[in-house]
Amino acid sequence: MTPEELQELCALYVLGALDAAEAASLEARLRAGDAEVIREVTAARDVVEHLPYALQPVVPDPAVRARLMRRIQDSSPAVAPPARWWGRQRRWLWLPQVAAALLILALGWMLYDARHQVRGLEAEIQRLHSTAAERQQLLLLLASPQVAIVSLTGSEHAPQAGARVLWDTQHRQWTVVTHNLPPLPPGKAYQLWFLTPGAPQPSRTFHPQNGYGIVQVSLPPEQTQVAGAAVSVEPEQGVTQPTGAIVLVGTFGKEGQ
Amino acid sequence: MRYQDRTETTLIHNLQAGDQQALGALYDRLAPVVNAVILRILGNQADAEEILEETFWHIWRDARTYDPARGTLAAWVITIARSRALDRLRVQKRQASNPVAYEEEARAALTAESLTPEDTTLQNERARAVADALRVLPLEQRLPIELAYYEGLSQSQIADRLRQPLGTVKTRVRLGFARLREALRPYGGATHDA
Repeated sequence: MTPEELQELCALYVLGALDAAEAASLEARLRAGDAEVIREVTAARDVVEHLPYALQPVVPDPAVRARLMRRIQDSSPAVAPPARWWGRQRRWLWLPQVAAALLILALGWMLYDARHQVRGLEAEIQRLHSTAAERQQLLLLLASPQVAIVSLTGSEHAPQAGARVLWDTQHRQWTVVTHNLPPLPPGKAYQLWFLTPGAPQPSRTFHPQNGYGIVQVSLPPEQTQVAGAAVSVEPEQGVTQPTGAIVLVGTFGKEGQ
Repeated sequence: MRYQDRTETTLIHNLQAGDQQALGALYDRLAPVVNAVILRILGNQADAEEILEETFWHIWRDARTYDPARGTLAAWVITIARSRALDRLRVQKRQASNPVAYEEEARAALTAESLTPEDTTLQNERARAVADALRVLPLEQRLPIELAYYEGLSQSQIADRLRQPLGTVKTRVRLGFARLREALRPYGGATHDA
């Protein structure tokens, strides 16, 4: 098989357009660890993953989200009430059954509540694990020789605020750790900016928690002369040029080259 | 840190632990693009919303089946949505029983929603790059890719639909992928999530 034929096969495989026999044959080669096939399928998959982003996003009706979340909540375990028991037995004979039913209800509720608490604790444990993983990643960045650390200082709008930019010069990535940023007004977000010889270039928006936040961004390939960074208060969705108060700013040295 | 600011890694961990807020955050993050894909396939908002809800319900129920080695979380969600939408499409038997003239297919593609979005805010920089790459792709290369992706046609069905030899379809898909790969190279993976 020529390289071109293999590329065609892998592209059509990732698109789901191969005939069954050809797909099975390719999958056998994938399972066998065929390096060429793995490389071409991975490259084709990367292309296919981008196709949806050529479409204009369509925000669905909010009712869809509401239905989904209600469905998820309803899927939590619940205790069904005991079936009504109608009979012609004398009232005093009902008492043991009623007591038993009440006991079952109480035990069921306690079990449901306990399971709900356990699920909440499990979620909290996962959150803590995630936070620990983030901290570990920060420590690794701090220890890396290819990471430069640059400080941003608070402006008159946030004199107590500050930030450290952990600049991974090899991967052209920033990890920005902020502290003491003031609470945001409703409808606002903090926005990160790349300062260049020209106009500031917008990056992502973020919402710190209690003034503390971690933001990771990749430097755009065309940004080869980054002179510094800034953070300003902007509308939630972000803007293309700064419009609000600048709360953090810092200039860099040779890292920006 | 708000759920909206969490990384994909953090979100999936929380989701797998049964955190409903994580599912909500994932929905808020991905629903517009997922909905766009489903709508592009089915062309019907009511059906699209039903598939959208089923997709995220599946994500909630089977979050533990996500394998990061096979792609990003966004790609996984979109793959599930596309698969369900194509299943629905096949059930609805909307595929043409007779081959459509190439010119008709071309006109349909030019008026479809896959044209360049007008929204050019920063957040759609990647979408703009993809749309630009697709726009400059020769139509004969773009059509077979879109027929496969948005209508679930096999290579043989594409050849029949476009009235082209199978070899020609394969070559044009390969050339289209090569051009897209080159155009998308500066933008890395499918998401820029940190």
